[in-house]
Amino acid sequence: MSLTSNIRIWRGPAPPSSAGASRRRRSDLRSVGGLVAAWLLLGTAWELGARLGVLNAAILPPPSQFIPYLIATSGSVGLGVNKVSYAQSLVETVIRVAAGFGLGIGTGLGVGTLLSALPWARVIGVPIAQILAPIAPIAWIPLAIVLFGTGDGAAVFVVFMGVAASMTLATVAALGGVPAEYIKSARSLGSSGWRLWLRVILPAAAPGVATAIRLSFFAAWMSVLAGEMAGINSGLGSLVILGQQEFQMKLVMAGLVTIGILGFGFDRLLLVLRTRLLWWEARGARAEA
Amino acid sequence: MPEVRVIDVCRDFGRQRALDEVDLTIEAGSLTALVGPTGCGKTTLLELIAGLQHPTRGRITVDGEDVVGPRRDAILIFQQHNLFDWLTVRDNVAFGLRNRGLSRSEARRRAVEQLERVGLAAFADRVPAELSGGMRQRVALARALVLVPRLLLMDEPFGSLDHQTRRIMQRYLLTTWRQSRATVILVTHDLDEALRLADRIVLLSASPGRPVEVVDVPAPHPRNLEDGQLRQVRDRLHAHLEEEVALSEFAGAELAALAEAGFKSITPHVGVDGGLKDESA
Repeated sequence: MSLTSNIRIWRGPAPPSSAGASRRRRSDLRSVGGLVAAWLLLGTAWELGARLGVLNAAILPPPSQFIPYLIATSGSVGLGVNKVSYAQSLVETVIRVAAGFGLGIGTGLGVGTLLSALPWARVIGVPIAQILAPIAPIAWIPLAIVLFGTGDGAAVFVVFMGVAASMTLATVAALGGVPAEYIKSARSLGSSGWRLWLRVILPAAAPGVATAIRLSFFAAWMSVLAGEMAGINSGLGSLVILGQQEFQMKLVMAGLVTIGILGFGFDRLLLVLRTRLLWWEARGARAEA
Repeated sequence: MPEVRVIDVCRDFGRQRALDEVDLTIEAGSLTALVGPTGCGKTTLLELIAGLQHPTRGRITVDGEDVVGPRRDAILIFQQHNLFDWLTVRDNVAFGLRNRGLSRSEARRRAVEQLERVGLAAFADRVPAELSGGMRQRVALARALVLVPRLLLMDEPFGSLDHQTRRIMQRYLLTTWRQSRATVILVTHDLDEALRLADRIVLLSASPGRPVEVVDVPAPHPRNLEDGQLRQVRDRLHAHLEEEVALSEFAGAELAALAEAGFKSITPHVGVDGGLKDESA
């Protein structure tokens, strides 16, 4: 009958073609190329500025100075008891941020989900998180040092406090933002209880949660560095401060560049995890294009 | 094929009355359209029948049984957010089967069978975002039909589709409905859609929602809305619907201005009751 011929009019979006795949590869290449080119350009300008005396190389030592410096001192800087290793500082900071971030995100997700599931807990819990979230992570440093001393514990605590409350609120918001129709459809299709949470509410909230996690990482990264600069006397942040105190600007520059590259690397890692876990988003975006 | 009875149902949200004394009988195997202006409570009524909400007063029965929660044999379909973005088409269709305790492989097998029946098997591995609007609604329908529902509740299912796709989907619904022999209740604000599809049209007034006119449309399918009797019904319902929309949208002074500007149909509300059953069509 005519109906079937009518229905055949709909042709779905064409299957992902190899042309599409190569276009994607090209765009990936372009963004990597752009990154390399931009930094080559900045590095060259920096070098040229220093050589020509436009920039004061004593204050802004170019890569050609601080990279060899790092290698020559085998990353060990400072004097006597203050002597610290670059590699050790880097590892310390990475471990601290990973631990604090992981604990903070985990707590935020857990508490946020619990608050969303239990209306009476939300009445108490959300206001508490709302007051804790705006406290600048650095403001926790004095308390952290009193509680944990000037070591890893204090740094992890500061990162945790900088992440957990805001992540709790973001989780509550993401779960609360799940369209009511999703839940009604699911219930109408016989879903209820934990199954409804696991199969519908959590996946529906996942994109919002993923964005919050990525933003939280910046807060975590800043928290750990600020903490190391203001009292926790070890790690990359402390290394930069040490360089300033001893007027080792090469060390300061090496520290800054390291902080930037590591932060960028972690952010990319989170982005890759997101595209892996929320695989459907990329396919939807591709269909839109 | 269940018969649905809505008996003296009121539904309040706080102090706001959304539905007031709704009394309806929906015949088994029929296709009923609930038409009315925005905010007339037609979605609320549908969700009450689906067991997703509970009436403040009165009761609703399906096949003589009181509705106390979502029923196994009743499925609700929306305009949007129907399909789960994070599941493939196959897993979307398998969703309800999994909830009924089928194993993953068995649920998927039946889902693919259903998709084959509606000509969508080639899209089983797609995600909803990769489908057109019409295809998404067809999958939503397939997801409902795979559960062999006896009561299909549809809330503006074609509201977000373009005109042509909408027409095709309406015909598609008629065929699938005839095959399934389910009782269908369709909420729409589009009177033409109601006239094309429904055996019976229930016109609801706005806040609080209440059936003001119930019209039986025994015309055979496919229908031509320009056709004599159908056209008469259409004109009258159009005027009535326009009046309801105006009444829910404007205050007294504005209504007077509108009436002067030539909207003759707009008169002060005199509370037409549900007894105005039209059998002439």
